Amino acid sequence: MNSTKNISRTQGICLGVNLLCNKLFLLTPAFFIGNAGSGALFSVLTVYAIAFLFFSLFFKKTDGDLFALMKKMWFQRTFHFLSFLLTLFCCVVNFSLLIYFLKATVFPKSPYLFLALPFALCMGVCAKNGMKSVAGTAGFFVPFLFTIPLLLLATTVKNFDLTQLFPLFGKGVKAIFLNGVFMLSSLFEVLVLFYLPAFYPKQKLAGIVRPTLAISCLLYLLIIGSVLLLGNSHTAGHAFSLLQTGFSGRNDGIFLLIYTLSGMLYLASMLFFSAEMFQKAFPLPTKNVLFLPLTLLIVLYSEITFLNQEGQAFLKNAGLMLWLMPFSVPFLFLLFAKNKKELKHD
Amino acid sequence: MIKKLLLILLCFSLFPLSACYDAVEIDDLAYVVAMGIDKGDSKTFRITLQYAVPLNIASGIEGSPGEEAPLTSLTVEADSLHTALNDANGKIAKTTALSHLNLLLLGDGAATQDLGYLKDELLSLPDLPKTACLALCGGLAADKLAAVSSPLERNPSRYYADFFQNDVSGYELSRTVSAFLRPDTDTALPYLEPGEAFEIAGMAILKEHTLYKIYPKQDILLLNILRGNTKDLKYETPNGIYRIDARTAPEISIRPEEVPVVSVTLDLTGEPLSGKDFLFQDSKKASTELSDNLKKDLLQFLNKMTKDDIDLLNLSDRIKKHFLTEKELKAYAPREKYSHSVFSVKVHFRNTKTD
Repeated sequence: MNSTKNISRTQGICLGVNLLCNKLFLLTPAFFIGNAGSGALFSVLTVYAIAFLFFSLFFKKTDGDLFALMKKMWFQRTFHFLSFLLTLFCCVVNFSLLIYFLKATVFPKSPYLFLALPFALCMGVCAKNGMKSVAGTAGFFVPFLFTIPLLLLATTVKNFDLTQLFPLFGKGVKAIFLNGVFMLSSLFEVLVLFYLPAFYPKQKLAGIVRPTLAISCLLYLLIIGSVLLLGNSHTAGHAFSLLQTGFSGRNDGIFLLIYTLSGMLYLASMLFFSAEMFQKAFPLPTKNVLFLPLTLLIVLYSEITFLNQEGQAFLKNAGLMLWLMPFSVPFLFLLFAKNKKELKHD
Repeated sequence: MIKKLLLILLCFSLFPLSACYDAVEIDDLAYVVAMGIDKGDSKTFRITLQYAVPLNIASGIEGSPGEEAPLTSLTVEADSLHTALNDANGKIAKTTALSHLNLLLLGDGAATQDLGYLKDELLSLPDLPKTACLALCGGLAADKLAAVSSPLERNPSRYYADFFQNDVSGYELSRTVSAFLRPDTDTALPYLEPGEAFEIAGMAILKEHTLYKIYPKQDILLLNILRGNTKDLKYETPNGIYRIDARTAPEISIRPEEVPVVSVTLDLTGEPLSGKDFLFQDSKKASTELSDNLKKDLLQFLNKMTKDDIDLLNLSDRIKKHFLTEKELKAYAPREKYSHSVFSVKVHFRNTKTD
């Protein structure tokens, strides 16, 4: 393994936090609040409890290298190929959302491609520079993500309506706990963390996954809690646009900057990992040639979905099944692994 | 390395390449400070846009352009706000900008229809500040805006903001567009009477986004006391006038019994300002006089609200904490039981003059 490819633990955690929390700034709060009503915070805790439980079990049986579990090439390649498809799909959805958000808020008159191309170029270049570059950027940028919940709290705390937290279990125990399994799709990006051991060979993956889940859980609780307590908004961006604060005027600009940078980083990381997955699915000597066609595919396909309402509805519904890949497939491999004693390398 | 550098340079070169695409010069914009919405004759809306005239605001020297009116209005009829703005842009030499909008005035004709559509329209206007004040007037909003003279203030934008948000009379009922956007709550807006006078005459209550009742000005004071906005208020009893402040936020609790039981406890401080002699000689008597009168007025106001099925204190939200799930809450049907609510009010008043 080339040491220049390796990343530090902090960089790995930051990368994971950004991947899990990017969606949080737009649609995820509405997704949780729509599902569980005033019990949305319990729903978040349930989703994270399931994720923690899953990973505790996973790390108990293995040292985190999922692909060591998949002894047979056929399984491994299928898993890589499906992961590639889903990661690409996430790229398309998030690329569409990012451009749609920019178009709806600040550039209503700009044509789609004019907005999309600079982002696509930055995404492609950042991903092509490799893991070190993507993770380094994440390590520098991700602490700034906390600006959004902190600013939101600081500016909106006087508008909080505590009655929004009641009834405590919102739409009912079933909506919170049973539907929590489907809500796991919001943590779909955990899948990418299974690919990290290749860039983080000397230490165990648990050192990245557990802090990533804990930090992102905190961000989820802060942002979804703020949106829920405000009562009249569905996203953090909307909450910012409704408020005017004495000391800094409107804070939409700060939100826009951080969300856009976080979105860029998300897209670059996902593009990098989709190329990595594709390379592993069809063993290729290099993945460098993949970035240009994948970027073009993302831009073109997101433009089609952007213009097509039915396409958007399809993506939204299909998203509910995303949890199957990162959670149930590795679990099945654990369950049916023939020689469980061989799972741990040490 | 050179390849990477070239790629990065190529990335950054995209930004200057855009040149002045989408550029908007400040001189090309016409800033709307107030918007009036009335029921249209041939179309859904009759929208009045009141533009600021910056040259006339800037100077105040006699004989200078500053002596001319700082505002100019334009009225258009359209089926949507978007179309109205488009039509307005076709009639002026500039582009209409809503970023400095301070007042959205609804005519009572427009408000008697369901304003739910207006909510969607407002949400879809990205540059409309959601912190703009919202008010309702009797008659036509267009006439009311035409009569505004903004005394003691050349800048009409500041005048509207001060009038609705920094009012010191105790009749402040600051409602912003963002509050109006909140679903499923009854909304009280400042109400301006028909005619030329620009003053708050009461509160207009919107129920399900439709004008439902108009309450007198005195009720704004009582609502402010119940909401805890009690700062230097002047409260009048048959024997005198008091200044009152809230010591702590009002305690409002609701119990979900056969009918909802609501108890309100107010902790106030203040002093008599004028009135009969005993108010200044016997502090206890003055305190009792204020407490009894305020209690009576508040009970009357609360009962009037329940009778009219108006929930301005969000009691149906406050009751939610007694239930675990929405299903249980729905089974209790708090909104249906609300009109039979029983109230108890306690007023503790500390007279600062003598206590």
